[in-house]
Amino acid sequence: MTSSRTRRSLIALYPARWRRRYGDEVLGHLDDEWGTTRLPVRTVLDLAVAAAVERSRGAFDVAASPTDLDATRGLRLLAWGWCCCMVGGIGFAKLAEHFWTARFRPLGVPSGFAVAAASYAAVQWVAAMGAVCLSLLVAPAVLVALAHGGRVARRRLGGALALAVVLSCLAAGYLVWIVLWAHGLTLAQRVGGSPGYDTSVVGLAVLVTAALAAWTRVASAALRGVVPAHGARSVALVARLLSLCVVGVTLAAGLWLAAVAVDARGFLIPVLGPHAAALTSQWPYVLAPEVLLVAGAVLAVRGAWLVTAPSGGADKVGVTA
Amino acid sequence: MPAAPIERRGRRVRQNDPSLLILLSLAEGDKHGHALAVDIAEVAGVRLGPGTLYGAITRLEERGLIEPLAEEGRRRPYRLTGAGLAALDEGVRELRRLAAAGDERVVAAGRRLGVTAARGLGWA
Repeated sequence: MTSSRTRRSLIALYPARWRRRYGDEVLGHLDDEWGTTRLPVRTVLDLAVAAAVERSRGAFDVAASPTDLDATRGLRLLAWGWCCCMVGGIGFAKLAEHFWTARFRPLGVPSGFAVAAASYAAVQWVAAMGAVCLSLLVAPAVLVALAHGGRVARRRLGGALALAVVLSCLAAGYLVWIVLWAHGLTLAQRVGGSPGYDTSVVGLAVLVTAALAAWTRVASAALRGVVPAHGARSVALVARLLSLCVVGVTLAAGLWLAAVAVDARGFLIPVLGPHAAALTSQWPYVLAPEVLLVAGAVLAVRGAWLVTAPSGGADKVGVTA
Repeated sequence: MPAAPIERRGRRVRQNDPSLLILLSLAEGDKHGHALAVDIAEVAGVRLGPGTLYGAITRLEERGLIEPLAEEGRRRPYRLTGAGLAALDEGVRELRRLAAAGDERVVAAGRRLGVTAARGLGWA
């Protein structure tokens, strides 16, 4: 790619309104600074990050002080609702792994099994869509808060980010250790036969939950430092979508559970036999993920309502910066 | 227009704050983007990237602290407004307070350690 095309591509990353006002000027500035030579990587990164920040400002603006407007409170509730949904979803996935034919629909199983298999697929797809929505919602807030937020807000956000990164690294390292260690265990040892394995899995669950909570704290800290930009209907739209995703995951997981409850033994992975059959009688372990999912759905619906309600909707909040 | 502080977000001014550096540079006279970058590099020793520079220009213009002048080809000079001057004044006073606090602490630390610190403008 020629240097000129690189420059035009970088300017194209900015919002159209900004390009019309500053585009030619920045191109002229680049010509003044670097002539026709290739732009340094640092400059390319500087322009790319600035473009991302400028686009984010279309959705959020910096708050005058830590905000507790209905809109931002709603977004934070949504983030915590998603966190509950993720923790519950991980528990659901762990539980579901024992019910092999209720996750996928292998050849030869009766057509009635399709309900459970479809529900499981719905959980996965809707959860993935929710993750995209959450990224669309939180990433601009983090960028704007980091780029333009006050020193205190940035320090708070930086601290939350550092903790989240540390906990994520710990969880990832622990996961690798468990996988390597469990590789030598037999299936029977893993399914209730080895107390060490159970303890390790619980430890991993605690670490992953802590990491997810830490990332949600990052989102919450970023959202406390911003307000939805005036007229940014996209924020309200994405918030609605995210809450629908959380509710969708909860309903699909509930449907899966109902389908499995009808014939738990029939859905079991055959090799597990009696070990896994006992799961059906352990209702706390079966219901805990569902309770978390429902709690997440309640938080998400309440959050979306606060964001879109006439008194605190995103399109009613003025720009303060 | 009432004087608007450089940062209306409870944020203290930093020495390398792009907004402050741009206002400082424009206090000397009207300049376009490239001239601003060169001047800031000379005065503050900070080379602002084009993204950072124009990001700050965008915000300063939105807040009425600087105003664009007529285009000169692909270059557009900017001028400091009255509000911008007041904001710069506040920013500089903030830095002066920081420098004074630093000064006092250097002297106090020198006494505590029994060391006479070499100062920028002589000996304490």
